[in-house]
Amino acid sequence: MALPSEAREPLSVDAEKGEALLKIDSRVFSRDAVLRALYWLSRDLYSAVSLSDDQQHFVVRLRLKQPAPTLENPKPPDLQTLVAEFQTALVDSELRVQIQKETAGVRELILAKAFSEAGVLEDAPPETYEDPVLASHPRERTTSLLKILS
Amino acid sequence: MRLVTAGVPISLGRAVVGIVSTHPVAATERGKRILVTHNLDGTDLTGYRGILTTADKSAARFHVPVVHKVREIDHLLDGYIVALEPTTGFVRTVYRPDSEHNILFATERCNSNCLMCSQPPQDRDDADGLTARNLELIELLDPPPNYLCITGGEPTLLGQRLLTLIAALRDKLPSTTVHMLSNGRLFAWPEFTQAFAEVGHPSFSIGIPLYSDLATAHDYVVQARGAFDQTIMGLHQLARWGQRIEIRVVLHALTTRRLAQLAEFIYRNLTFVDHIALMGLETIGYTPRNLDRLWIDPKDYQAELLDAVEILRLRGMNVSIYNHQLCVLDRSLWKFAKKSISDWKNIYLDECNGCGMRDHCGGFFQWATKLHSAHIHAIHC
Amino acid sequence: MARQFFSPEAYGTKISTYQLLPFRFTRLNGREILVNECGEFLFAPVGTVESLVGRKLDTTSDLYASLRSRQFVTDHSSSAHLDLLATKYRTKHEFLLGSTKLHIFVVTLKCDHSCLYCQVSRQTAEHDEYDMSYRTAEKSVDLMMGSPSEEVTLELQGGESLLAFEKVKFIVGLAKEKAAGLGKNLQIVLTTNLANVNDEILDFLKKESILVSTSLDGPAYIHNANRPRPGNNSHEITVQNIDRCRAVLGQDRVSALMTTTRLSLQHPIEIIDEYVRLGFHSVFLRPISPYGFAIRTAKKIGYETDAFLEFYKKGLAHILELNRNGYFISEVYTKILLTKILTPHGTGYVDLQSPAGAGFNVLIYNYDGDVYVSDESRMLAEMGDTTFRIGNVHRHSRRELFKGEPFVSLMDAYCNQSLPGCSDCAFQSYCGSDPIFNYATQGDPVGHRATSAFCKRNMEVIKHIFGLLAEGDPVTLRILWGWLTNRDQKEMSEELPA
Repeated sequence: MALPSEAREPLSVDAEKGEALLKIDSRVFSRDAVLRALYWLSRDLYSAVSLSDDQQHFVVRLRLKQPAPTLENPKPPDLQTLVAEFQTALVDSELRVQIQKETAGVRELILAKAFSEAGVLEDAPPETYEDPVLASHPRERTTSLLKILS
Repeated sequence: MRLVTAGVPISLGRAVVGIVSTHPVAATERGKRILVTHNLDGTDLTGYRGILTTADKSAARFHVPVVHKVREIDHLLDGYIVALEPTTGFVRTVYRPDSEHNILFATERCNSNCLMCSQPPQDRDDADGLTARNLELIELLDPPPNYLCITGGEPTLLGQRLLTLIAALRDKLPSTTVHMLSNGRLFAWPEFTQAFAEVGHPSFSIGIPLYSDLATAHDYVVQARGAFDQTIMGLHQLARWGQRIEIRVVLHALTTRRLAQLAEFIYRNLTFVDHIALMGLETIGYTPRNLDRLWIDPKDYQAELLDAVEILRLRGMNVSIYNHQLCVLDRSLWKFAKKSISDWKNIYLDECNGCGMRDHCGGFFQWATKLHSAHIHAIHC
Repeated sequence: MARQFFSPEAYGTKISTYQLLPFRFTRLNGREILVNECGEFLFAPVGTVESLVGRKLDTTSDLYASLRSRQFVTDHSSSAHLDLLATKYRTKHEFLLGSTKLHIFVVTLKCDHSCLYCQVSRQTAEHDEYDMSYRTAEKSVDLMMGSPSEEVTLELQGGESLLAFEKVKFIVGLAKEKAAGLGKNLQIVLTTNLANVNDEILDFLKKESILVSTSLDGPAYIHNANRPRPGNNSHEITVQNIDRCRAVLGQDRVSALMTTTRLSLQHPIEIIDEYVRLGFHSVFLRPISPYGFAIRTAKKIGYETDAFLEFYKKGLAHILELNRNGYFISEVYTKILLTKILTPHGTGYVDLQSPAGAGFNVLIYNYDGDVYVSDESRMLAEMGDTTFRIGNVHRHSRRELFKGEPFVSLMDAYCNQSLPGCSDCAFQSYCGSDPIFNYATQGDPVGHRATSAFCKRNMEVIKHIFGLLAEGDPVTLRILWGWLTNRDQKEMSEELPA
C-alpha cells in the first residue's frame, strides 16, 4: 500500500465488506481532484460524494461493483487495493488540478501563438545586441543594422 | 605559413587589393596586378596596381602605389591576392588559389566574448575598410573558388554591408559555395533575417555555435547575457526562410558534461539543421587565459562524445567531428572525424611519426605544440 | 580596451523562483513520466512532480536543468521561449493543414468473399445496383478535389473493388484529370483481395502507378478461416497474386494488412512469420474491430482487449527479435506511437489524432453517394444507425457536409484535450479521439474513459512502449529508430558509432 511521502492526507477508512467510507479534508483536496480520482475507479467501484455537515470534509462512499467472485470473473479487484489506489490517485489529481490552474493562461497563449499568422503573436527578441563600436560611434547607425530595421 | 608581412608604404593613398605577379607582365595585363620583386631596377612600373619590394627605395618617387622594405616576399606566389594597408604598410595575403580554406574576413568586432575565442574581438571601426577590401577581392577572383568562408569577429554586425557583400558574391561568383560563421544572434530580428534571405544567394550556409541546452551555461561560455535566447530565436527565423544551418559545438570542460542533453535539445528544437560539427578546442586567442575553466583532455570526454553522436545519428542528424586526432578518439567515432584544420595552421607532432593512420588523421592546430592530449601516440596497424 | 571575463553567477545561475509550464504526468514502473505540451517526456524519480509543484525542487540540480531545458518550467534566467513551444505544437499538428487528405471511395458492395468480420459486402449482387454510378463518381471526385489540401490520397475500396473495374478506371481517369488541373499531388491506392486480378488489370495498375493494398490474415489456416470464399482457397490465390502484382508493379508497390479475429489473437508469431515468408517489411498488429453484425457487449470487448494486448506484446517481441537477427520489419502501430513520442512530428494516421481524423482528415464516399466521416460510421449505417452520415454527394456541398447537424454534433468529442479522463492524461499527446468508437461501444461520442476499450488498449500499448524506452537497450533503440528513419540494422551499424 503506497501512501504519500508526507502524511498530509487526513482520511479515515472504515472498510466493510465490499464497502468503504472515506473522509477527505476539503482544505487539502479540491472537489475537482476528488471527482477526477473517482472517475478512474468507476470501472470497479460505485461511488457517492457529499460534503460533511461542517463543510470540512468530503464524504466518499465506495462500493465494489462485483464484491464476490463469479464464473465470468473469478478474481474481482480487492477493495483495500482500490482504496490505496484512490489515495494515490487523489494526490496525483490534486497536483494536476494545481498544475492546470497555474498554467492555464500560458497554455492558451502557446496555442494562440501556434495557430496565429506568422509574426502576429511572436515575442520580440531581447532588446540589445551590444555592438560596442555602434555604441560609441553614432555615425555607424546609418549603415548598420538599424538602417534595415527602420 | 606566413600570411602577413609589412613594409613601408610610399604613395599608397588608400588600401589596395591586387593579384601577385612575381615577374613583370605586359602592359595590358598590369591593371589588376601587384608586382612583387626584390629588384625593381630597370623595370617599367606603369599601370601596375601596386608594387611590393624588399629593396629600400626611400630616395625614389613613384606614380604607382609602392610598399618598400617589405620584410619577406618569398611566401607570395603568383596568383595570390594581397591587400596593402596605407598607414601601417601591412601586406596581407587574402587569397590563395591553391588552398581550400580561403576566407573573407568581415570585421574584428563581436557582440559576444567567448571564453575560448580563437580570434579575440577588437572594438575597432573596421567595417567600411574591410567591406571595401572584400568587394575588391571578389572582383579579382577568377577562376571562382569552389568555396569561401565569411568570418570575423561577428559578420552580422556589418548590417547592410554584409548584405552588399553577399549580393556581390551572388552576382560575381554564383558557383562558389559560401559558408558564414556567425553567432546567429542578430537573426533574432525578423526584418534582418528577411532582408538577408531575400538577397537569395544560391549556395549559402551558416555555422552557428550552441554550447548548451541551458541558457545560463551557454551565456557563460559566450560571456553575453541573452545570447542563448537570441541565438535560438535567430535559428528559428533562419529556418523560416529556409536557410542552411550548421550547429557548431566546441568541446571543452564547460560543454562536454551536458553534451547528450544538448544533442537531444538540438534534435527536438532545431530539427531543421543540416549538420552538427563537434569541434576540438583551439588553444589560441583567449583560451590560454581561461585554460583552468576550459581544459579537459579529449580522451576524458569520449564517453560523452559517444553518447551525443549516438543520440544524433539514431535520429538521422548529420554529425562530424572536427579537430580531433584519431589516437584520442574512440575508434567507433573515426568514421565521423574529418580533416578539418585549415592548411595554414595544420601540423603533426613528433609522436605522429610512423603512425599508420596519419593520412586519415586531421592532425593538430599549430599551437598544439604548447598543449595537447596526454594520450597522443602512433597507431600501428 | 581589454574585455573582462565574468563568472557563471553573472549569467543567472542563481534561481530562486520558477514558473510551471503546462505538462501532464503519470507513474510507471517505479518512476514518474512527465510529458510537456508538445509531447516531450522526461523520466524522473517518484516525488518529482510533488516537489516541483510544491517549490521544493533543488534549482541547482541536473534534474531541474533538464526540466528547464525541456520546457517543463521557466525562470528569470532566460526566456520561456513560448514561441518555441508554439512552433513545436504547430509541428505536432501539421496533419491539420489542408483538411481532408484521405478520400475513400466505396466503388461497389459486390464481393466474392464472406469474411467473418465484414459488415458491408453483398455476395448476391446481380448487376450493378451496388456499384457506384458514374454520376455519383463524378460528384464524389468533385467533392474530393474541393478539399484545400494539395496532397490527395484516393483509396478505392469495396466490397471487392475489382468487381467494378470499369468504375475504377473511370474514377482514376477523372481524378487524375482534375488533380492535374488544380496542381494537386494525387496518390492512388487500390484495396483488393486480389482474387480477380488479370493481365489487363495489372497493366492498368502499372500504367496509372497505383499502389495495391491487400488482406493477409496470416498462414492459410488462419487466413482461410477468417476469409471464406467458394473453394476456400483465399490464401493460395492471395499469395499467388501478390507475386503477380509484385512482378508487374514492383516489390514495394504491394502492401498487406491483417484483420484480427479471435483465432488470429492466438497466433501472433505464425502470422508475423507468414508476412516475413512473403517478403513484407511491415506488419500492422491491428485490434479486433468492435463493429460486427452485432455490437459486442462490454464484457466481450474487455476480454478481447486483454487478449489483443497479449497478442500485441508477443507479436512485438517477435518482431524485435526478427530485426535483431537481420530482417527489417516494422510494426505499424508501434511506429505511429514512436513517431509521436520520440520525434517532433505528429501522425497522418487518422484513427489516432486529436482533433479526431474522422472528417477532418478522411472522408468516405459510399457507392450510393452518402458521405461518412469514417469507415466505422459507414458500418454503423449498414447496421441501421445513420447518426453519422454527414450528407450525400448529390445534395450537399463540402461546406454543407461539415456544417450539418451530424458532423457538428460530434464536435464536442473531437479533441481529447477536453474529454473527461483524457484532459489530464499523461499520454494525451500520443493518443487520439474516436467519437464513433465511443458511440458504438458506450452509447455516446464523448464516451467513458475508465471503461473504454479504446483507452485501455492505447494506454497499455503506450505504457509497453515506455517500458522499452525506459529499459534503454541500445540494440532495441537502434531497431526502433531504424523504423523511424527507414534504415535497416546493417545501415544503422554503418551510420552509427560501431
